[in-house]
Amino acid sequence: MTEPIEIVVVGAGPGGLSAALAAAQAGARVALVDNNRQPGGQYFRQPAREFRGAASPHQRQGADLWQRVQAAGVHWWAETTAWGAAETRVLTLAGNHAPSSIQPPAIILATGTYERTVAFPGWTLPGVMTAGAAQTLLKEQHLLPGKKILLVGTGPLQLVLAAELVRAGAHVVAVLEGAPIFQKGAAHLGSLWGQWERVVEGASSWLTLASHAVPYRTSWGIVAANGNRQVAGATIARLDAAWQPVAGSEEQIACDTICLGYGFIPFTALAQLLGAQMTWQPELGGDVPTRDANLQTSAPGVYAVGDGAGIGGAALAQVEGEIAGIAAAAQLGHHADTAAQKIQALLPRLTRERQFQKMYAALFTPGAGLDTLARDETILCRCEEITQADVRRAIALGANSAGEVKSITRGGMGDCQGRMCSHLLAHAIARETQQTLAQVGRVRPRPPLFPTPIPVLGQVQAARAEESLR
Amino acid sequence: MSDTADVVVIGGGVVGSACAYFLSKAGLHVHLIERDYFASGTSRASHGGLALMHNTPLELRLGLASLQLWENLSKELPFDIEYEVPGQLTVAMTEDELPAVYHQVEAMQAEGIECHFLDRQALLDFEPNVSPEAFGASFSPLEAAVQAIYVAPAMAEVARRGGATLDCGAIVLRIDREQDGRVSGVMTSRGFISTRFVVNAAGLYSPQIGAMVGLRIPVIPRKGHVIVTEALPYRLYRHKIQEAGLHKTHGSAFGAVTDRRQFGCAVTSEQKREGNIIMGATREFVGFDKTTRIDVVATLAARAKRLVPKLANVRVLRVWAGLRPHTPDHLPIIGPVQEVGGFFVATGHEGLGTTLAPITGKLITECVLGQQTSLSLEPLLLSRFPSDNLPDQFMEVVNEMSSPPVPTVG
Repeated sequence: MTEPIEIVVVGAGPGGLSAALAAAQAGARVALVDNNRQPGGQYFRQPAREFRGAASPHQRQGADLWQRVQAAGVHWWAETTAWGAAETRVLTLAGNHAPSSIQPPAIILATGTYERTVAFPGWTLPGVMTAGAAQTLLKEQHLLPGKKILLVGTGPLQLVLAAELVRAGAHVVAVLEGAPIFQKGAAHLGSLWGQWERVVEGASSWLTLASHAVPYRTSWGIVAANGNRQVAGATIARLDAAWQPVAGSEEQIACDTICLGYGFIPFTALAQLLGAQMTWQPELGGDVPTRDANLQTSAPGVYAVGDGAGIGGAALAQVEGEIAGIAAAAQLGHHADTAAQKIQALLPRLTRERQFQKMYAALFTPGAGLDTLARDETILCRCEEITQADVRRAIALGANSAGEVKSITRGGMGDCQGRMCSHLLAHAIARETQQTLAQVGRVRPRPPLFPTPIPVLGQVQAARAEESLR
Repeated sequence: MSDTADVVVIGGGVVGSACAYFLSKAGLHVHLIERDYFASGTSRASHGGLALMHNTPLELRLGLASLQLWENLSKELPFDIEYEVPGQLTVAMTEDELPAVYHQVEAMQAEGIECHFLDRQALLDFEPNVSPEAFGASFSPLEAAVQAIYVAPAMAEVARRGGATLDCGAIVLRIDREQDGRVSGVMTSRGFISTRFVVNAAGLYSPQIGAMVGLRIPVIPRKGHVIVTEALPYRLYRHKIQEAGLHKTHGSAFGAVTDRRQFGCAVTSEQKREGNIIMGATREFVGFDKTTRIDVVATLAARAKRLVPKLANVRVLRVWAGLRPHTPDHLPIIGPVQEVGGFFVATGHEGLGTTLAPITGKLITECVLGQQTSLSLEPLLLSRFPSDNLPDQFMEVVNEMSSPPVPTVG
């Protein structure tokens, strides 16, 4: 490329695609970075090449957006991992299509989320997986995760996944919704006004499940996964208002696969490394970057959109992406005169999606009981095989915070780099030490954020090498 | 709260915990004060190598005695500290480095320690994944490794079972003395402990503790980076492997020979039991800054790949940096202090804290008990440094740490 890249968008899900498109249409030179081979993220996840003909309406919608992004001249850096960053707005990248590091005038983070795991006895048995994993198998590879599938968790995505599984021929033994949505839902019906696509999708999922007689229970959740070397069943129980299993209500249910859909945690490590100030917002999924009206973080030139800045779904991510794309381009002098007007026009959509986000959070944020299912021998960090008892021992040795427990137990130091377990460890520490999650603190992310080949580390350009990475 | 102890040990790193361990074993009532939590300072960042340094016969004797203690400790400690004895290959990557390897073999053999030379072919037969461009190596079979972060808590736990008080989260505010200068007690943020013996094992913060009894302890931070890779499902190599250049980067004094840039970088590495490869080391004087720097990591990674080319296929999981307590002559400070009766120093081990912790604990215990020490402490005493004529960098830290600590609330 001859001209330097002006804006790097990290993440090619709905938010990142929309941001890249808006910025490129405004005239900025944009590069779009994603871990995956294909753009789309989880929401628009595209079928593998072999199944291209069998794309769902969602997947076609994603493919259309992608075509517009390409037509706008966005540079596509596929299979590229942003494994580090510095407060000087440097990103370090690993991938064949990208430079080893870059310091663009603006960065738009659309890094999305990872799924919130839950530790209960048996959760590390083969056959337990996250709902997203099951969805990836289905959307991309057209594979069913098992034969008799139990879905536990919260939120409408469970319904959608259950219906997709049923349509693909799976036997879904039950869908357990942790929240008492029928009691609480009525108060929020107003927020559905205008969300017709969602209403239709929900209704259609509902009908599919009803026609296949799939039991759907609210205020129910999982207590344990049972089986020796593989899931053979689950112990489930009715939940009280705090999501605590009600003693005596337990039932056994036979299944070979359990999909956990307990929500999401924003992936904010890059924002933190770039120096963005964070704020603890449980209803948005935990720690999220603070942002101004243009969705710029406290780090100049660093924008954050979509679920990675607070769980809100694909539609919110798209409108946020458009706003940040327009604002970042304007900051660099592209159509600066009309940017405010364009953003103004997007505000009604933003407001509507934020209302939906509020309703979603009010209905589907798990209660504290969910974090009490682990027993002493239950593994919390599966990479390093650290149990709840190990955490307690570390606390007895003087550890008080997430960082201290990590350095004593090695919990959170494995291949997943804490993405699977740091919230489980934090909850366990908070309970044991009778502190709040905020007091327990977070483990400060450090590059490499993902396992990164030694030659890639060795390659970082000398020009960038002087930058210090925190 | 008021308390009494035979000995107060200040510092819950690997050295302080080892002191508490041996003192407690000797039947003394120990009160161990740790400002944060066990192994929270230098020990936390250690890569856990137990190494024999051969700059002087004294270092070799200390190291050898400590390795023997480690063997017993590994059987006795209540937690698995992942002790193993893979032996150390010191590889000459350039022809220039060969004399250093020959010298090492001679120095170790002169002390009766097993160590032999391998030419290129013998090296590749012995450890096939070392670079075929290597010029040769020494092999020192006694050199060992532990999981550093587990060691201090394990030794402290033994001390606790022997009756020691473990006081995490307490800050030392002052040290009281008799008219003759002898220590009489330690005031902490939690209360007063009456005692006749104090061991300063506060590592990087030992100058601060020293200042409380009017001593200038010359210890400054020397930064190091460590890289850990993903766990490999196979053995890439069986022995610890280091570059011969490492001995050059240690230096013996301030301003010593350093590598290409401002940070002395030479690889020392080991594949741990679970399959992860852990590697250091870099040496920089940058004050108390623990920031991980990508330029340093990049150099370390590039050198590691040169040493073991197949590392090109391995992914890095974590990188961190820590600070070692460095003294002007690169040797630790161990032993009593003439001016202050009952006050002992156990600090300044730089990169050898884990290696030398057991022998340090044993020597300090012998001192406290008034016994003849098993090694002469003369070259390790604080008095070897002229306190009114320390190098500037050391004076700065000593002066800065002379102001009394402020207790934090909560």
